[in-house]
Amino acid sequence: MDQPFVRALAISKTDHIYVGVNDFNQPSGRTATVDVSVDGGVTYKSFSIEARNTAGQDGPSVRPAVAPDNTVYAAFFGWRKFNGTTATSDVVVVRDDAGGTGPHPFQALRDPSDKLPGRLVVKRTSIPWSNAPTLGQERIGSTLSIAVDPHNSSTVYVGWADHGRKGDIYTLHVRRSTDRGLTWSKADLPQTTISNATNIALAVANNGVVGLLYQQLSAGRWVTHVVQSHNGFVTAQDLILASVPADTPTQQFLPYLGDYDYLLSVENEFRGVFCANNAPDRANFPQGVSYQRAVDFSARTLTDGSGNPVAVSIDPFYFSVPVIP
Amino acid sequence: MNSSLSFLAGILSTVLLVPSAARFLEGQNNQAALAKQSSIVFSGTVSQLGAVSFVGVPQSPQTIVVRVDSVLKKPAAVSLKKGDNVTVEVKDPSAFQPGAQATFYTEGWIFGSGVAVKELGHDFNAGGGVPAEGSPTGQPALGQMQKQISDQDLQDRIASSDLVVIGRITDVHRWTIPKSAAARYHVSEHSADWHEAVLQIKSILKGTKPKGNKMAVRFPLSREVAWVNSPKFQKQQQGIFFLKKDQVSGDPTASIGGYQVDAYTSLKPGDWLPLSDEARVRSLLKN
Repeated sequence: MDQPFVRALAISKTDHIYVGVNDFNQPSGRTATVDVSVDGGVTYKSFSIEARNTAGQDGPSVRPAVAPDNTVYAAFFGWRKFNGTTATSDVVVVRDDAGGTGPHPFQALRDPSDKLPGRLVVKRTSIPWSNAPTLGQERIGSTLSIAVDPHNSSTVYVGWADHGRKGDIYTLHVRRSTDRGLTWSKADLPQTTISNATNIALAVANNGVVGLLYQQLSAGRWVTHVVQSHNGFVTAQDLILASVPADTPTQQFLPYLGDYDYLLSVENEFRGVFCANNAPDRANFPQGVSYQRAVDFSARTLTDGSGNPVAVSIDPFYFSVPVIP
Repeated sequence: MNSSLSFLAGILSTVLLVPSAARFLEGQNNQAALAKQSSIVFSGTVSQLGAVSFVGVPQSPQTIVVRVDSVLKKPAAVSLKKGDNVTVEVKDPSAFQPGAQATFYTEGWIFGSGVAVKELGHDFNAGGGVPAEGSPTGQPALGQMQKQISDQDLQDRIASSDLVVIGRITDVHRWTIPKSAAARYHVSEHSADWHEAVLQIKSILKGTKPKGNKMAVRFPLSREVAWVNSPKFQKQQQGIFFLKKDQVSGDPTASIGGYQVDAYTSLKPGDWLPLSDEARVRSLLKN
C-alpha cells in the first residue's frame, strides 16, 4: 500500500472520509483505490477505481475530492507502460454521485473512447520517474491534484505534471471541467503550463475562486507560489510565499522538499502547508514569516535552546491567505 | 585461633557482601531496563522546582527544571546537549531539591523552543555530583552507563539476528527481482534499489553456518528516507554482519556459484560493525 491521501467532509453531521491509496493488494494490477468511510471512520470499504489494464500497477498518487452534495471525484495516474524511468500514463478522473455508497461506486463517468469507467483527461502522456535528485535536489514522478467547487460540484479542476515541452524536466498542467467531468478543457488553462515545477495542490473556495499551490525551480531557487483566480486563470493573483536557495541544505535523503504539499479552503481563507529551506531570512518570505523554533533573524541563523547556531535544514511551513473577492 | 577468627571474618564478609552485590546487580538490571524503556536519558542538576524551562509547557508542582550535565541517550532528531535546561515532569517532586544531581530516565513530552520530558525513573548521583568513572557506590559511572545502553542495543540486535557473521564482501551488484517473483514487486517512491553483496564467511558468531563459504546479503542502496540509514556495502568491506533471512525484497533465495541458497538482508543502521567490535560482540554472545 502506498501514499494514502485523505480528504474528509462533515455531511449530515457525520464525517465522510475518502482515502486515496495505491493498494497493491488489488487484483490484476488495478491498484488505484479509494477507501470510503461514511460513518466517521468506524468502518471502511475499499474500491479499486481503475477499470483498465495497467503496467502492473497505477502511479502512486490517488487523490479524492468531495463536495457537500455527496459528489466525490478521484484522480489517478493510470500507468499503461513503465520502463523504470518513464511512465506512459493516462490522467484519469472518476466520479460518484452518492458519496461512494452505491452498489457500483465511482463509475458515473465513462470515457467515450472505450465506454469504461473513468474519464481520460489526458491519454498516454509521458511522465518521468526518478527516485534520484532530478529537479534540483528533488525526485519526481507523481504529482497530482483534484479539487471540486463546494457549491457547484459540476466544476472540477485537475492538475498534474509530465514531461512537458522539450528542455523542461517536469511541467505542471491544470485543466477544468464544468459539466461534472464529462468534458474537459482541451488545453491547459491560461497561465497553468508551468515549467520545472512540482508539488501541485488545488482547492476551490466557497465563492468559486480556485487556488493553486506549487513549487518551481527557478534561477537556482525553490519558489513556492499560491495563485488564485475567479475566472479559470484568465486573470490571477500570484503570491510568492517563499523563494529560497535550492542548493542549501545539501540533500541527505529523498524526498528533498516532500512528495506533495497541501491546500484547502476554509471559509474565506486558503490554508496550506509546504516545505522549504528554513534559513530565517525575511527576504526569502515576501509575505512575512514567523517561526515556532529558536531563530536569530538579525544574524539569519537558526539557534538551539542555548542560542548556539543550528544548520539550515528543510522545515514545514503553514500558511493562510484570504480568498480574493 | 587467629586463623579461626580470620575464617569467621571471611564468612561474615561473605554474608555481608552477598546481599550488597545482589543489590548492586539488581540495581544495574533495573537501570538497564529503565534505559531500554527510555527514549531520553541524561544526567543533570536540578535548578528549579515547580517551574518550566520554556513557554508552552504546562507548569505544575510536578514540573522541575534540570540543567543537563551529560546526555546518555536520545533520538537523533532531538536537540539536547550539555548546558540545556530541560523541563522534567517528575513522579515525586518531594524527592528533589535544587542542586540535586541525578540521572533521569525519561520519555519525550513536548518539543518546542526547548525540550520537556516525563520521568520514568531516576538515580541520584553519588555525593550529589556527576557520576564519576569507577564510582564506588554501586551507581554506574557515566561511561559504564553509556556502555550499558549501547550493549543493550547490541544485545537486542544479536537476539533479533538469524546470523551474526564475521566476513568480507567480495562482490556487490544490483539485484533485480526474478520474473517468477515480480508480481510481488511494486514501484513506489520508497523502492529500495536492492543490491546484493557476496559475503565471504570467516566465522559464524551466531546461527548455523550456511553451506559453502559464501552467502548473499541484500541491502538497499536507495537514499529514500526509509532506507537512507541502512548499511551500504562496498567490495572488500570487512566486519561483523548482523543478518536476517530475507523477507523483504520479494525473493527469499539467491544463487551463489550455481547453487540456490537462502538470501539474507542487512537493513538497519548498526547491522554492520567494524572488526574492532569483535571482542565486545563475542562477550555479549556469552550472556
